[in-house]
Amino acid sequence: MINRILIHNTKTTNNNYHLLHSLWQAFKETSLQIQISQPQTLQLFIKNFQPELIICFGGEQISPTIENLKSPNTKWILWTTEDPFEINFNKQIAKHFDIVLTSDKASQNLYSHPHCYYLPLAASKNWFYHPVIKQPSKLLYDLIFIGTAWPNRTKFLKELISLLKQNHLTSRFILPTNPHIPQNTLSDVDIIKFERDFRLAPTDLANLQNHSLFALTLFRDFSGDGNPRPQSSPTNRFYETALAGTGQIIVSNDINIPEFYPEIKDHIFQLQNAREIIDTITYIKQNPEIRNYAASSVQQFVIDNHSYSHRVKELLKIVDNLNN
Amino acid sequence: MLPEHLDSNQHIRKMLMSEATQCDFTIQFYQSETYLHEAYKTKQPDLIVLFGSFYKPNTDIYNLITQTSRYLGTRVAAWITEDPYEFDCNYLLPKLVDFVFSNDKNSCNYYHSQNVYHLPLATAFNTLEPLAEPEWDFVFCGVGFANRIDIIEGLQDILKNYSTLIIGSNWSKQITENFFTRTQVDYDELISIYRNSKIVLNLSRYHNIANQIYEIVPSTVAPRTFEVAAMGIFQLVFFDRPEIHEYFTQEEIITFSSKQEFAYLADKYINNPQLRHSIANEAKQKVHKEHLYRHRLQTLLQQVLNNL
Repeated sequence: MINRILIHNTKTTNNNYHLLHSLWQAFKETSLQIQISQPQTLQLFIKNFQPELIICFGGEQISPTIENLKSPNTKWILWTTEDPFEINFNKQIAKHFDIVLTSDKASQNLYSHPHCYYLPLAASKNWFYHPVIKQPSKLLYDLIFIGTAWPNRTKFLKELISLLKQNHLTSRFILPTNPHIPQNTLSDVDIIKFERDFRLAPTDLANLQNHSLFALTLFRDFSGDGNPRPQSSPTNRFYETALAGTGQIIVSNDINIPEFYPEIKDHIFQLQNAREIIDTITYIKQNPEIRNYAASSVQQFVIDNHSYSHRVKELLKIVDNLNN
Repeated sequence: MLPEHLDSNQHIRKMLMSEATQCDFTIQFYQSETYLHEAYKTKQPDLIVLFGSFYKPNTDIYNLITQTSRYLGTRVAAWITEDPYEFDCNYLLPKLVDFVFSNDKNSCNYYHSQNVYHLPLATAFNTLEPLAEPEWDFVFCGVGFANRIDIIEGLQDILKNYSTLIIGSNWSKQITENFFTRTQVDYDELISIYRNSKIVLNLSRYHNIANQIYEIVPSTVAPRTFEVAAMGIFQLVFFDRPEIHEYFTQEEIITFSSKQEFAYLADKYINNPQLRHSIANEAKQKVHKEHLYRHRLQTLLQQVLNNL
């Protein structure tokens, strides 16, 4: 019987900490005891808290020396959140764990581990929920995109921004850069640096999405080592945008949300190109009730099925099965 | 509070102290390295509030906190004023004191503790008014952090058409060559300059001192937003912290997100003093009603009482 659970933040610097915090909040809602450790405090927590289950959340950066910390009374889980981009490293350390969970569906088959499962990330109402704004006059933008300026996105974004301007549609693009992105990646995009290059708090991100007719979701196919690898399943941003209460436009060659979640196929705007986005926005501006209904439906779908409480239940079921 | 010689935000302390006189409870302020010794001489307090930065002091602040709670046997709260920029020095505070109040809403989430509450900074009641014939069209005061340099350089073509004054250090050569600049002014002089300007630019800070663990992005606006509003001076705010609309409506504070929008707003407001005054007045009323330190102190006390 598991009672004490330790969530271990595997990264020395973690600017996606809200994921881990949401998982912690979901465990707090159960009767289990839950603590969070950092790379520098893992040993201390193992000694003093004596967890029966340790969830190493994130992947990457974990040292194989964790092998020395293992004991027969503790189960170790690796939950990778950056697959397929960090799969090479994660595969190397997977053998040290009793269970491997990956947030990318196709990556599940790449681990030669007897207990590897697909467990997607999710979204927490505490961070992202906003009621859908139904009066168009209260919205700030027709389209918003907030995401890292990965090189594969720039050609598409350049065309989209140009078309939005031509069609007098209001938009906001916030495209923070990072050291992994080649310099001048955005030199062709017609947005001045100060307008696009800053980070937002997760709650502020949701706030801006909420005040937009549509939020654009793009998936990533660029890794730190420069090799293109497509994601195969929805990321946390899909669920988070749904909770933010906005119409969600998805452009992806690799992930088809209506196929992934047929329950919401009529409420997701999965489109192919910039032209389709313009046409969709133009049409919805005349028929806002379609967007409002879609946004509410997708939001409810995520509340009902894709919170971290749902993931906690699934995770504990996997652990139970292993113990049995 | 930090000893005076270590305190780089003395005007905030002065405001807090003047506002405390408006509260219906008694507050005694100590701002010296021997304040614990002085505190012994006073009547046993019901609550001790440690206010300010927990990063700079040469004194061992954590040892002081332990001594305070042990010897005075009193509940202790910490009101942090430098989140998230110094978060790595603050994250242990919830384990050391009874209540933690953070100036930044987003940072509160990262303590993963139940005794942490959001309490933004504020301002003091102010009877000052903007001058009738201001000398400057635009004024900005602050350190030239990278994001601010990007903004001023990005708006340079527009700002050059107006009389623009940039106050502070670390600005780029491009900016110092193109605008009137001052490297340093004290707070009283700054107020005079603000009153002598049509529009105060409000640009956020993204510069960390100790924020490596989670690289937390700030969400709460800086206290300068409330301070300028309390003087009835019109400000244009770069819209990178939507939380601002939890304090002011879109009718009380005007924001911009792009160069194009800034150009439109500059043209609209520079030559329309009545419109500027009307909006600035709305913001001033809001601050006087909700965003003075007397309101924050009441909130702090209420939160403590609710959670005893």
